[in-house]
Amino acid sequence: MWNKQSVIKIPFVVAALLLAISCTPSPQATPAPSQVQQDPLATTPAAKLAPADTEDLAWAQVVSAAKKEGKVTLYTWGVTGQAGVKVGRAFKATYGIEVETVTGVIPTLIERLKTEQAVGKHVADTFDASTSSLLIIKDAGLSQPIGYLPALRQKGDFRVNPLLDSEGQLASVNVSYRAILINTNLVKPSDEPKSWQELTEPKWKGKIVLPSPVTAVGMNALYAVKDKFGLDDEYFRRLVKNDPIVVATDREAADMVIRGEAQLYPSCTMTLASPAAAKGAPVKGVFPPEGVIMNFGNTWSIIKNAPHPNAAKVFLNWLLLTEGQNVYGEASAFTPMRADTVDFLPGPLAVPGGIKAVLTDVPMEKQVADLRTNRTVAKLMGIEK
Amino acid sequence: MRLERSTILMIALLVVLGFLILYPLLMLVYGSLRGGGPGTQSGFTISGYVAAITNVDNYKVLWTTFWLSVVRAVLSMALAIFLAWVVTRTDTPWRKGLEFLIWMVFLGLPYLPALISWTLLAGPKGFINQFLMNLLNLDKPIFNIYSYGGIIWTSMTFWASIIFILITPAFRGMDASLEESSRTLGGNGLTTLRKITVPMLAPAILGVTILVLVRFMESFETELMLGYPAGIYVYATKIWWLLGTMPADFPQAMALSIIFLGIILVLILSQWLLIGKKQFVTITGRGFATRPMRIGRWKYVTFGLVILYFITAFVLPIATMILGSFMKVWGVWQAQPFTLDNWVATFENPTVYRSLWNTLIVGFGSATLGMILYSLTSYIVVKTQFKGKKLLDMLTWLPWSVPALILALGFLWAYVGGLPFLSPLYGTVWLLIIVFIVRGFPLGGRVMNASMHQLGKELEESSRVLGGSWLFTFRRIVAPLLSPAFISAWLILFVITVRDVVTVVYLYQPQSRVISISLLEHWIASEYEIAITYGVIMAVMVIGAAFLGRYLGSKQQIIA
Repeated sequence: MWNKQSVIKIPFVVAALLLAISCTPSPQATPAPSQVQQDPLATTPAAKLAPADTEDLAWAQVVSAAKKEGKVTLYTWGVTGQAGVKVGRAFKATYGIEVETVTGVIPTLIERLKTEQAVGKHVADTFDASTSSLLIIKDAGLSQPIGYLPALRQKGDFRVNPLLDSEGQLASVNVSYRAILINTNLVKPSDEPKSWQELTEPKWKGKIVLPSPVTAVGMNALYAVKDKFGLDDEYFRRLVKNDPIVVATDREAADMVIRGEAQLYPSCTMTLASPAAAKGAPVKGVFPPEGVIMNFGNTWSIIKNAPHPNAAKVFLNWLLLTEGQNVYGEASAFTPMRADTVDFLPGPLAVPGGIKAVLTDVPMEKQVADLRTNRTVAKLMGIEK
Repeated sequence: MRLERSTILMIALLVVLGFLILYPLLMLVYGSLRGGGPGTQSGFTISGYVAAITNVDNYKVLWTTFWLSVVRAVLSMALAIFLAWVVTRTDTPWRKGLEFLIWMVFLGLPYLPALISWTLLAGPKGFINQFLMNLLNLDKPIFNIYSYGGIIWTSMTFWASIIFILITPAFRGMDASLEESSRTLGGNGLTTLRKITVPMLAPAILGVTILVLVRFMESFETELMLGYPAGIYVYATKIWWLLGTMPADFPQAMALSIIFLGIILVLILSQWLLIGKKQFVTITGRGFATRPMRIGRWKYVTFGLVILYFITAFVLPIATMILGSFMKVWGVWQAQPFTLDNWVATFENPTVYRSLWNTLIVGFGSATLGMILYSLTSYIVVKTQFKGKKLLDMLTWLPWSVPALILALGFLWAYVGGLPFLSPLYGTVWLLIIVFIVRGFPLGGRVMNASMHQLGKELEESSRVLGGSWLFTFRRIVAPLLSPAFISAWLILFVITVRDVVTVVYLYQPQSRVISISLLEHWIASEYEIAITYGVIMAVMVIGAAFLGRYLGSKQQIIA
């Protein structure tokens, strides 16, 4: 029954079958009929104040156009994994629009976007990542103005103005605090650093992990506000003299502290450690009295020539509404931009009351400087290409 | 001049291969002279090359890459040859079982999670270090996986299993009468190994050594995970670093890639000159015997050593991994560390099932279509007098002349940013299949070349004399005899495809998402525990395929 001939044939047959099946067109995903007939905007105070606003009428058009488009494609860093599943599910339940995601490391996503735009092969509707990456996108001419979003009408609803730039192309959905991250198994409460200055002292020799200023922006944030914290230019050189472990990205630095391979990471974005902290990892945020840095967190743009521009707007708007902020915030354990939502940072990482939070990223000129800051910090730290 | 039909076919193959392989590479060369891809605004420039050549650090990186590759190639080959010898040519007990265990090392370890497992085991705070420190009362950890040693260790243990799979068909197919003659004339086990076995298998061994050397030169993931934190840079991670700077330094990265391509070309050309035309026929028209050599008491030592290999190379990392998939936070032992949530999340993810399906299509498609292509090419290169065969052979080496991430970039630029009629392929499983077929050429080509070399002429000649055509001979004589090598290579390619993330990440869209991307998505979201579940799924999928192959193969003693 089985002989050499037929054994060899099996992979061919299977492959042929699979390829044949994959050739048949897959059924188009039809958007489920929206259960919620009511526009969620109708419940926000803004809508009640000005019901006949022309902008709102125009918005209603955008929403119905979005539903016709039926899906939105996110080139995303933030809406992926479990958070992606939850966000996609909630958005679809409200608007009936399918959320599809494409992810990857940031250089890859940026290169894909650039190539697609250059040849007119438009796939991405939005792009989201850290602020510095979005700056690159904007500089490369890949983003378009977001335009009117009902959620943004009342800037007072937010902790900070979500729009980063005057052209209105970049919007952040959360704020992040950069404080000192420590591993509580390795650092006793009495040893916790009491100031930013202390990190250059011998007691921390070999125990600190830093992200490289050439490939990551973690150190930039500290540099941007060093004057406010009373640090001088030599501070960074002293930090490097203390034998830190230098890794490529902010995330790796946080991971090392979580796993106990390093004891401390200065200027860590608390959201990097929040998934692990929420599940009981031995980490804690230390907030020195000089103050901590407040950044824009996950920043969004709508890509030029987006195939589903209305769906993109509706999605971004929803992310800035209370519903979206709560769903995304809870899934990713971050501090949403809206002031009327709960801060989802887990206890050990939450900002204690009375701590000075210094915003690094406004105004826009400082944003551009962010990328040049890399080189300055790299020089100061003696880490060159 | 009349062209035979077979010559026309061969020319067609040359053209097709030329297009598939050269087109993306040419886009890379073009990109290096333009400082970027189709999305770049600049014109002709050699600034990247100038930067690459004048940067002293690049020479240091090149040297590190070279010596690390040579050391790893030599050590992996030695280990693999030892394992292959034990399993195929000695009377060590339970050889079938041992062979299966070695296969498991390759099949069962998805790469990214495996590397993290190693950091959890042998990082400065790793389990092994903690255990030994407690046991022996030390105050410093013995092992540090973030080191040259760590890179060598993980590469060696993993690659030994792949090399083993690649060389065992040759080891197995060797006529034992040659070794017996040696014993009769008074040689002991070691002499026979040295003077008969190894030289007879030299082409197969040498071919694989060069292959492995080239592969290590452009190796990436291990060096990224384990070398980067220690300040150890190799070519691929240096290019990665340049692309990851804010903003990315494309000119230098591309220039370095092309320079590297040139270096690899030189390497390949020199190996041609070394190996030349030596033919070592071991499968002949006469019947042959494969009696295992008796090694007396040593057989228990060899048995133990293989088991030790299995435990250190496989059991330790896989146990850490499976454990991790049931933990709340991987590597962190808290009061109640375990949970089923990760697995629940995976099975509730709506995209998982489509991912699995796509993975099967891409895996089966690329491995099968690829192997057909590689076999045909190989046959032409080894067994015919086609004038273009040297060119054909050279082409099959090229896909490994640049790191995988750069080749993927080349495909992005070529198929999306290049010839317009190709761009509908963007985002489909078809493009992924094409890329993997191209990427598998060096491996598939080497395996089939080595196998073809071993076939004695008289088998085919008998077929031709009795009236069989070229194609008939290929189908009915050559193909069945080569089936052990064919199946092994197929399986290796299938596994590599299923696990690949670096290539796919440049080219997939939601409809062509594969399981390695699902893993990456959770990785990026810092959901490592969920990501590992995908690793376990990949391992199960791949082991399932291997079991099937083994079962069917053993029905007719194709795989002993």
